[in-house]
Amino acid sequence: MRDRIPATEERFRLATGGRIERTRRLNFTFDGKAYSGRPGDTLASALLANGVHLVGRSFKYHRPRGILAAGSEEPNALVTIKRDWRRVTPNLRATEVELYEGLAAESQNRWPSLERDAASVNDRLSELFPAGFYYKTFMGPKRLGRAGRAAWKRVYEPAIRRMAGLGRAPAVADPDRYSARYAHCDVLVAGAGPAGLAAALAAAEAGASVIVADEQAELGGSLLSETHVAVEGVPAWEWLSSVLLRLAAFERVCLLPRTTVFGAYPDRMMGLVERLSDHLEDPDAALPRERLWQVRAAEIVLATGAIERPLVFPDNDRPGIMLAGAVTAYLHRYAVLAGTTAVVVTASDEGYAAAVDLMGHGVPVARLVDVRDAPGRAALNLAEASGLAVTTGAVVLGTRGRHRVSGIDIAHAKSARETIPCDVLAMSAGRQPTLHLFSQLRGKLAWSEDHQALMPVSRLEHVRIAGAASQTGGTVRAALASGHSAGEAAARATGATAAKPRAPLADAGNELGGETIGQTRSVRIAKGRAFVDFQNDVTSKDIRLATREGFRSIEHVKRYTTSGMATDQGKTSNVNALGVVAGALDTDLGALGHTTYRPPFTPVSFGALAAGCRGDLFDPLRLTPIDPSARARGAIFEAVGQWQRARYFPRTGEDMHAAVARECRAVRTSVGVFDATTLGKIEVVGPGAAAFLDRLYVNALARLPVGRCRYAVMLSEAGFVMDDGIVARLAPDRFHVTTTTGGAARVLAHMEDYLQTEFTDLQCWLTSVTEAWGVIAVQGPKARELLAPLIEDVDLSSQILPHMGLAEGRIFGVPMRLFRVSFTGELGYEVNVPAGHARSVWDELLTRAEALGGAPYGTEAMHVLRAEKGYIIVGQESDGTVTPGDLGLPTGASKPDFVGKRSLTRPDMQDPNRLQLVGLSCVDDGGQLEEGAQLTQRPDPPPGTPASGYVTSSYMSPTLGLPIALALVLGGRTRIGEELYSPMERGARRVRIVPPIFHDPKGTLLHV
Amino acid sequence: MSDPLADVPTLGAVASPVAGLELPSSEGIARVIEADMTGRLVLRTGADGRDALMGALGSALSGRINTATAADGCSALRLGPDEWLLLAGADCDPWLSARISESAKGAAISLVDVTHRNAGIVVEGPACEAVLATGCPLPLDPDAFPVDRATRTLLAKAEIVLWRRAADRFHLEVARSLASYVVGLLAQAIADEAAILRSRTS
Repeated sequence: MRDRIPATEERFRLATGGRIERTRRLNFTFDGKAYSGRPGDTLASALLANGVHLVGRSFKYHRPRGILAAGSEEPNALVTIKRDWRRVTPNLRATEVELYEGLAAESQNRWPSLERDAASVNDRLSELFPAGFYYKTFMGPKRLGRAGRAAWKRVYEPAIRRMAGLGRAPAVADPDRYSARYAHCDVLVAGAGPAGLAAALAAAEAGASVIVADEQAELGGSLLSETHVAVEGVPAWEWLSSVLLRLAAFERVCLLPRTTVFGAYPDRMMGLVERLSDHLEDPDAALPRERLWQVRAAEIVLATGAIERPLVFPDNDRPGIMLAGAVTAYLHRYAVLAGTTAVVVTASDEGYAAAVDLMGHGVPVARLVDVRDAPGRAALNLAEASGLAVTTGAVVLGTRGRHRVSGIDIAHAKSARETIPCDVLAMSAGRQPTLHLFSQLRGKLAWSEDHQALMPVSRLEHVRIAGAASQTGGTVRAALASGHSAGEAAARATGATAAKPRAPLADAGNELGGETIGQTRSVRIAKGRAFVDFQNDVTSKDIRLATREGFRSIEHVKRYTTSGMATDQGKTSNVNALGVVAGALDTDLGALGHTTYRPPFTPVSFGALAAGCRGDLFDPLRLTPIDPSARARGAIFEAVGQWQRARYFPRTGEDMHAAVARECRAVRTSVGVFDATTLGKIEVVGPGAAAFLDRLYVNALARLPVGRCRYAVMLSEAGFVMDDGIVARLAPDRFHVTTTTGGAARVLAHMEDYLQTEFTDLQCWLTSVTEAWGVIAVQGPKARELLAPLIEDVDLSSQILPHMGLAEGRIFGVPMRLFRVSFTGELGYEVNVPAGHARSVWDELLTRAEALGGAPYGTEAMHVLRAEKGYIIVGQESDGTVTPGDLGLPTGASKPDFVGKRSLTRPDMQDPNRLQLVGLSCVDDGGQLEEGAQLTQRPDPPPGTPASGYVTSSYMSPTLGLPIALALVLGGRTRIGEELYSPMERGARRVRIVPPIFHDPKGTLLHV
Repeated sequence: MSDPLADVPTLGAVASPVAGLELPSSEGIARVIEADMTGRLVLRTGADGRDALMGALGSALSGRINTATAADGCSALRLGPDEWLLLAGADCDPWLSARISESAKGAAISLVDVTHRNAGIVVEGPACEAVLATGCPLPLDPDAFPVDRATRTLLAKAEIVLWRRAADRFHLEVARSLASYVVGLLAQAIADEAAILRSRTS
């Protein structure tokens, strides 16, 4: 493809001028057809150089569309770029896509081809798609009835949704990498036009650290299309090169081209996205595609420029109808002529400058059509001096042409209808300062009659606006001056004290003053559709219909008509929409307010926002030190928060059920070994530690003897169970507290909160030791036989170390904290060893346990074993609305106070008919119950019957050989023996309420 | 199986949470190595305790918040008004803990051994600031974060203690289960920085 000779030879490229690199040719394709362009071109400028104006079809009516603008505000020229089969990016603005060798672009929203688009029939059926089309359609016509509406939803709605929309979403995972970077600076300058560069230079010379970001490939902004003005006595481009060199020489200045400041967040945290590889022909595979910058800026200078407004007249959307500023930008920056015969339609003096520029480059301007009755004197003088034919007070009746504009119909004082042929139509209705970031920063805007634009009406601390964003109709000279003073003031505000910088001075120049800017209100509509929002295909008629249907607020009109809701967020349409609404309601434009500017300024890829957070780095995967040993044994894992825990250890041929049953039997008959390392652990130390824990837990802990543990429950202030664990007293002033795996961070924060704000009279400190210790639970009748020979300094006999006793000693020579606790109902110990020794201790213990007939067990067996004993799991038997009383746990009645106690005294917390923990046994032989299943009085309750409770845990008990379940049942403890039903899809299950303990109810095994 | 204790092996080697991880290195950017630390203690105490510990730790506890101060055999990273992370180097006094407990006398202190809780990771090289800035929201330039500044902060989703040892060297303390995540982040950041630098210079 690259060797093929392009079909056209950049016929509209001027022989000289522009910022493109003329010595190199870049081949590219658009809809499969080969063209050429130059380094420095955008896709849009290269297409125009080849005379291609038709580049897409519109969203709703599939109207032919061309290139309206030259920057990121482009609403029409959206294309899909296919780098390779995995890298297909839809909806990119051709005006921003940088050309590279081999670039393959495709137009969108057309079938079978851009020239012959079947759906362009929509344009002739436009009466069927009025404002609010979606709202009206997706309700479904009433007369269809229920079945008809269902069909409507199944058939028509998907069809309409397929029709609508622009590019296609990518079908495969994004293969590219995205990076992220936090940065800090004294002064962030958004926009590197004349104002931004002057601001950056002033701030840097004053000694501040500066980040300058600009969305374009080249820094320079409007200077890149400026060929008339001299700055500091040299042509603008020469000054631009020298100032960029000067800025680059500052160590504390960071220049970021291809970087959009897309969002402003609290405390001036600014979101930037830098495009790193999209412009490269063959990027390094390791190079991230984009980089997300999160910049904390002490001071911000917004030098974001201004966006030219289109004029709203009938058929103002044909290819070849462009913004006047865009026509001159293509002319000066890219040396591209947008056509061979031009007409300029304007409501602003900028149109005159554009016309004169075109004439200067040999493009005849058939007419300058000014919709104003009395343009400014300066403009008329310029026209006269240049021999430009001007018609003032004109009304645009419509335009001609199919895939390209071919003429314009106007009416004016001397003629009711005059047709002027042209192949490019430049329009200008003045400019709207780009104040998106200012508005996002909570700055207030209001309509200014003087400027005929939305202008800032509030000042924001640490934020300054400069250049065309701060004033309309300004000159380069004014932009440099305002940028300079904003930059210097911003630097001084951060304490920069270096010598006073000197402001760059531009000549007053042959620029037109901007004192007469277009009036969007005086749009006069003839027949045909005048487009306000090009990207969403919203016409002035749609907006007027919305006002007739009763919409008054501009926010409502926006949502009803979808004006301003496309991916360009109405950059070229919002002010015109305001103008149309004001005209229709005959109100003052200023009274309407404006729609909200929301981030991002231009679309940001999901990849950039996710940055590095994907794959293995999406979230930390936390593994215990014992993990490699468990993996070596073929354990199957489950995620518990960020932790990976061994769920069961299948032997060859075993499924989960068989493995769990075997593991449970090993614990009940011999000894099981379990990795409990993920349990949260907090060391509470200090003279106030005992009192502190006593206030936080339901259970009495103040007088817990040294060397003993207690099961303890923690409540929220509302009195509901929040967490549970073991509190072990190592010394009078030192406790080792365990929490649930998932609750560790929450419990520590809860404790710190109370310690720092409520219990300031207590002196103690909290240290997280979750990861300091590896924990191995050794459970089963042979637990003592396994451990005794391995341990130094600890006597394991029940007289010395009874159930809920603790001791410190050594195992395999490694320091150990040993708790005699059981979560299985068997004789049990939890061996805590320093985490770095946990794996080798586990390996040694396991070898010996297996010699005794024991086995490792996982979380699944642990759950079954504890359920057989009726031990609860917080989050399974409790859901944030469960009190300790509901679970049959101590309620702290004898304690004067603890967190949550007051709430437990509320009448509804003591209601005997609350949901209470019970056991369930199955009366039928239908196997295990479903966890979460509702329980009812009747097997077939009519819809709307309140449930009597629900199943919280359900297992097949290997010990009993029967299914068992725990449940919360209304008033359950007084209903032992009653039968309930669990209605399921395949018929109701019949269950009996039993006490929530199925194994060793007296607890004798714990004390052997 | 009831062999006497003499037959039970004594386990010596400590498994490092960094061992087995592939540590990234890129010439001219940065490299990651395991820190040479052998002991960690969290010390919490008020003003009275601080005075009492002068004997054991000298003026190490009088450093400002978020700075590291060298003491006899260890570095004291002051992470809060009443909180120090004491990091003992290879030549650490094995009796540091006992020495502190002893000299506290009656004063209220909390001393907790967290040697095995953390992994120590060193990031060093000319681009170490940029590498850390991929996930750390703090300003890391030498004016804002000079040598011996130490603070608790974030690296992406991991809580870390960040301590600047030299202009081009940082020490990170991370919970041991997060070591592989943090090393993975750093590896990616180093690769990204290297690729971006290459694209600028090519």
